[in-house]
Amino acid sequence: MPVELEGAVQLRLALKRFAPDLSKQTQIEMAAALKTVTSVARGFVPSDNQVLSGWTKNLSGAENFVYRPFPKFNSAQAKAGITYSTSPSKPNKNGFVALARILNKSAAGAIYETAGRKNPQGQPSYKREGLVYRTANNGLGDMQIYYLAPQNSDRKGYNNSANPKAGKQFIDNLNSTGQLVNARPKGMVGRPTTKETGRLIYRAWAEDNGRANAAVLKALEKSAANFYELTKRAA
Amino acid sequence: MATDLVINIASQFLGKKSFADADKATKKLTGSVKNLGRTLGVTLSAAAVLAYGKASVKAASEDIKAQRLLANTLKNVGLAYAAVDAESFISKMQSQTGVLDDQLRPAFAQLAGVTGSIAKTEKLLGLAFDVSSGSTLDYASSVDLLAQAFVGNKKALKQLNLGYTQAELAAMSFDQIQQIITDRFAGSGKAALDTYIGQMSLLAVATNNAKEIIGISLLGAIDSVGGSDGIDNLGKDIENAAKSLANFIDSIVYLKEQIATIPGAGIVKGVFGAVGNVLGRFSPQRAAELLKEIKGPQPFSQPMSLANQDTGRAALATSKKAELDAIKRNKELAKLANAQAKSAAATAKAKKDQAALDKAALALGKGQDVFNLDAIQIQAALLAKQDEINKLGVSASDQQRLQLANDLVRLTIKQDMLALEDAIASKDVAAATRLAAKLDADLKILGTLQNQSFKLTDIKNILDAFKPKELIDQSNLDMALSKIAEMLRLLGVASAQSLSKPATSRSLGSGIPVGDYVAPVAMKDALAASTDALLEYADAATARANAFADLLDLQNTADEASLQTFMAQLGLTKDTSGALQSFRTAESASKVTVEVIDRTSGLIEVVQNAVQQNNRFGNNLTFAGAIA
Repeated sequence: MPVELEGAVQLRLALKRFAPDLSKQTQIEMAAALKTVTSVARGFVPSDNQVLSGWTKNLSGAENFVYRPFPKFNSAQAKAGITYSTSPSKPNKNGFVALARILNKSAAGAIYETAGRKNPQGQPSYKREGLVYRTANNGLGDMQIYYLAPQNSDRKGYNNSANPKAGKQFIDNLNSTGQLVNARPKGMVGRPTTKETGRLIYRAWAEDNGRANAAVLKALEKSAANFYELTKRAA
Repeated sequence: MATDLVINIASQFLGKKSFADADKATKKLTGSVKNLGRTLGVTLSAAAVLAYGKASVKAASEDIKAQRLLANTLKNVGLAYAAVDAESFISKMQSQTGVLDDQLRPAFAQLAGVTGSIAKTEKLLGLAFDVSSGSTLDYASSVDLLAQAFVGNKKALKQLNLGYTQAELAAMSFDQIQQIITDRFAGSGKAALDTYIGQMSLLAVATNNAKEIIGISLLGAIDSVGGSDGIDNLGKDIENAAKSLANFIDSIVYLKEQIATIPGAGIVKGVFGAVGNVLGRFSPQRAAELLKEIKGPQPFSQPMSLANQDTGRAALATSKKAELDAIKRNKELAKLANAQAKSAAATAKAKKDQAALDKAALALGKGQDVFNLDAIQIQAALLAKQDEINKLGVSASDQQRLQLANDLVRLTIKQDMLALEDAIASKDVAAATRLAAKLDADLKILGTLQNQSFKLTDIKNILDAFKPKELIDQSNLDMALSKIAEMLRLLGVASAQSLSKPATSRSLGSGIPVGDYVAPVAMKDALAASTDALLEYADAATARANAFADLLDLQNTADEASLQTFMAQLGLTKDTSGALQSFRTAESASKVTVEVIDRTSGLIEVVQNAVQQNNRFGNNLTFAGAIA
């Protein structure tokens, strides 16, 4: 849960308009605080040979897929996807604007970050209906064709692999390279959630113990004080 | 961005969406307030006045109906004197609690019917208000709950979560329960009234009352001015009157606003007050009353009587009687509740006793197992003592014998006692009698031993009685061995006799020389001799052989006579089957048994099986062409 600051957005706008140097200085100070977290988080990204080999391979014929295939893992891309932002964000649905953010942008990095936090044993397998057969107009005489019922496959939230333990094996492999850590402070009021659980940025944020957060707030307070002094002198 | 994996560091609430929602909500609220204002008559139109008038008449009619129903109910339960007081109480209570009289009247009737007391009913109505305010129950449910509890049905009390079990509540009197509920919900009603909803309910009561008052006035007006024109005409008159009234009110309001703008309006305000009084005085109700006065006094609807002249005293007496009846009924109910509680306690005690008995029975069952263990131990001790006796044997001292005898008899007595208990428990009279006799005998033995007036020979007998039956007796064994030795000796004699040379003419003293026999005739002599000579020779040889046979018969007769003599010496009876057979027959007393087991049948089975097996495997013994 981010700390709410009243007037921070207006301060940033005022700084940008009336004290660009001070605005840049503020951004640099905030970035320095956030960079410590992103650097640590990038260190948690495993190398390509640490994850299951199939996850790093190019899929043959992927250019002809009509759907988006499972994202391939690339350690460098995952590391590059971990970044920060010191610009105010768009308001979310509840009307809050974030003044600084740490992001995990890459798809593979996001998968590595969150896999197993909802289903630690992998997604459950969907029970298929079994064999379905058809008998007419198959062009093969009296031969009947049997196939697995496709209408029950590809269900969201279920393991669609032929290997029923695929999810568990995948998560076990990820857990062997880095454990899931919940960054939500203990004792916080509200319903427990896994929304702030992850292996990369959330883990780094948890291990930072709020130092980066305090540094960002301090930078904003400092800039506010400096801006106040500037305006006071100007007046 | 592909994902929403973000950590927001510091944020600010701009509240774009929330503000929009708040704006919508405010507009909605404004609209609602306007509607409310319209309803309250800020901008009442003539149609609204008419509709309100109709609703008022309906409300007043229903109110009058409810009043009469309550009065009738009170009359039926013997509380007719309290109808007026009840109405007064209900009116006061609805203004204080915000509970409409539409709810209070049925509640009053229900509780009055149950309690038979006006005072109790009023108290419970107040309590029900506190309960409904402090719990999730509505007022009618609270009243129903209390009424049920008053007559002993306390199941519904669990909805109040009083912290007592159903059994505890069942054991309590209603007064106790009432006190608990009062303590638990004290002040809930007042607290609820202090809230916005409470105030709104009071406002609703005032509005309804106003509606009813207006409706009653309108009914009075109908009654007064309707006359023979009928309701239809009257409706039209009311509509016209309402329109005129609405126009009049609008004019007054407009006039008031205009006057307020004039300096020195305070004086005018006083004038409006006076106008309001005049209007109030000439309300439809007042008009109806005036009309009645103009028409003059009407004849009494009820005839005057002596009783009616002293209605106050009679009402007081009735009230006292009703209260006394209610107290009596309460006492009866309390007595009934006590009886129920006692019955429940007795049932609980009976269950507890039964549980204790069951437990004791279980313990007894376990004791039975222990008891069996005792029996086993006694048996083991007896065996141990017997073993000790066997070991000591004849070398035991007198003291040891005495001790062993004592121990054995004690163990036997214990065993007898246990067996006797079993027999008594199983009602086996015969066994019990037998065991009692045995126990008596054993006790006598023990008494003998403990009095020390024993004899060693008796002890010996006692010990011998406890000795196990010997499978191998030494004397018997010695006797058997001697018999076997004698048998072997006789067999030796018989064997020697059988091995002696066969009797010959010489040994028998026949006078025939050794080697004297008829020699066979040589072939060449036979061929040379004549036939007569040969026949004569053969006859002579046959006669000679017959003579030797006669001699052997004589010898056998002499041997048999000798054997008979020998057997007579041994004391054996004569048997014609021979000396040895006679001896064996005599020895059958020693139970030497020789069994010959016939295995023939087994052999037959084996052969049959083999034949069948061969047949199964196609090796038929009786194949085609075989010799049967």
